Amino acid sequence: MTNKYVLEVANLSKTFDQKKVVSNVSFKVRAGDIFGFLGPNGAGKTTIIRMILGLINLDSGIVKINGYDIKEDFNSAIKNVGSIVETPSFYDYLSGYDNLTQIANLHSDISATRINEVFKIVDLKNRAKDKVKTYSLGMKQRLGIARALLNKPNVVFLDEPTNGLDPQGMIEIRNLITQLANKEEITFFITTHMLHEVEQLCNRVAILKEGTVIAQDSVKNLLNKEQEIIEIHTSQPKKARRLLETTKYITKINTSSFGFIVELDKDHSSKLIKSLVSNNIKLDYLIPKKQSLEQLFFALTGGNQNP
Amino acid sequence: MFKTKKIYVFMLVILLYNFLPSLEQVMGTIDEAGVVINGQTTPFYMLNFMITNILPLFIIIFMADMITGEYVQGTLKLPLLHPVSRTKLLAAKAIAISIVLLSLLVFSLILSYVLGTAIFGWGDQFIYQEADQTIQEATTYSTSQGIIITLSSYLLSIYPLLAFGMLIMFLALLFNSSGVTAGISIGLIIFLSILGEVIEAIRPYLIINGFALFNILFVERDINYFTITLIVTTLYGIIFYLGSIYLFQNKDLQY
Repeated sequence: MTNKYVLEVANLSKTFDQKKVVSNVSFKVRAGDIFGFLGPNGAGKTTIIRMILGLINLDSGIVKINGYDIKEDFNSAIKNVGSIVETPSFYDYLSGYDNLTQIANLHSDISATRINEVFKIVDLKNRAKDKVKTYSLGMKQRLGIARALLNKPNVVFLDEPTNGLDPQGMIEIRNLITQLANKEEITFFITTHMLHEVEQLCNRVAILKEGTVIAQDSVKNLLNKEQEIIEIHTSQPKKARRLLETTKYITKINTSSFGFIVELDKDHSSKLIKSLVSNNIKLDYLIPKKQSLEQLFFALTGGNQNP
Repeated sequence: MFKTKKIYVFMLVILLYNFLPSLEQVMGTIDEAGVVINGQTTPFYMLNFMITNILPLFIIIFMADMITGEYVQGTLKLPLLHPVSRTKLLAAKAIAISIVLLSLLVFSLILSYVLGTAIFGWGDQFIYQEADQTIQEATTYSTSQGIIITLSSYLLSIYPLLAFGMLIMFLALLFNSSGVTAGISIGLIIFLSILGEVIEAIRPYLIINGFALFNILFVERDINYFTITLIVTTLYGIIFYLGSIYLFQNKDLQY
């Protein structure tokens, strides 16, 4: 079955102990997306991923994976899905190979060759026969990805895939995801609270706050705000402030040691430069600032950027 | 399944337990009791204690680990992320415990035949004599009948143990802690044993009475009592299995 959307989530809600933890969450993931599901800790990311994968029952809402409703035809919906939910769990007393064989046995069409293939993909072939209890966290994460790839999924859910990894491990996992998305054409749904990770990996994001989606779009569109930010370095701050305060298209003025950081309506930066120059304000530098996802995230979630 | 240490610990316990008759022989306890015992009946005697003490304890530990242990470790959810229904998963767990129980019973059967024969000799016939019975009152069968009865008793024992396993599965799904499940289960066995002793009339309706199925059939030879016990055991098994399915279907897997 072909479907433009690999994942469709509509009006998802969940209450635990009379506390609503997920409220009317809706979003869609297109085939080929690396979709970032962003939110601070406790926002409900893991609960939603568990609801999508049928581990937590839905109070209300619809989840369709590859066009199949998980309530009506769970087996078809989950058939082409790979996933790691939170820290990948294994039978530690078994080897990596035996752990994957257990999962392969749940499918009729996964051969020993495929098990070897996925070990090769995640670069764990030489450790396949070792017991999982001897693996490092990074190796377990890679083994988790290998397990998620066993059934040749077209969509893979990864819940905080780089959590607890050292910088080298993080880079390895990110590279692996990018490589799999490009080579194997796998759609990824990644929950994370690491914003730089999303910026580096994802083409589309949804931002979650207190169980509600507060923004969703392509990363490019989300960062392409109707505002521009410019740093003004000047040795005449008093004169400059008088001008900035009377300029209509400037929406925000922050004072800084070097001068000002101003937010202004989009496409008005050249006007501002002309105005500053024509008013004989001595300028050292004018630096346009690009808004990062981090800034956007904190602006939307109301979090503290420098905790 | 056979790569977990628990199974081998219980095999060791069974091994040690099977040496008890040798110890009793050395201590002269068997002679004092005036009981006739031989290699043909040793497995039958051993089954009595196995089914009321060792194997229920094994089921409690194994089932609590298979359900709550795996739930907390996060491995219970793994099959459910594939086209496997929760009902099938529970059925697979029930089959798994049956296979392990069968293996332990076969292990114990072989061991007690070998050790029993080595200590007491094979004997002329199957004689099952309780401590308060005279030799004339003892249950006797021919050697071939005795072997069939012994094998049937061991096989039949899986049935009440499995029903008991369903109760533990139900409790394990109810509580998210192996410790709580094990504690409550052991407490329940003790309570039901005392209850059965105090109020004899309700004993046939207690789940633990099913452990005596083989005894009722082959020693007491009371078909009516056997039928009632079989039906009660079956009902317990079905009720707790269906209850487990209901709990599992509605359980939110948060680990």
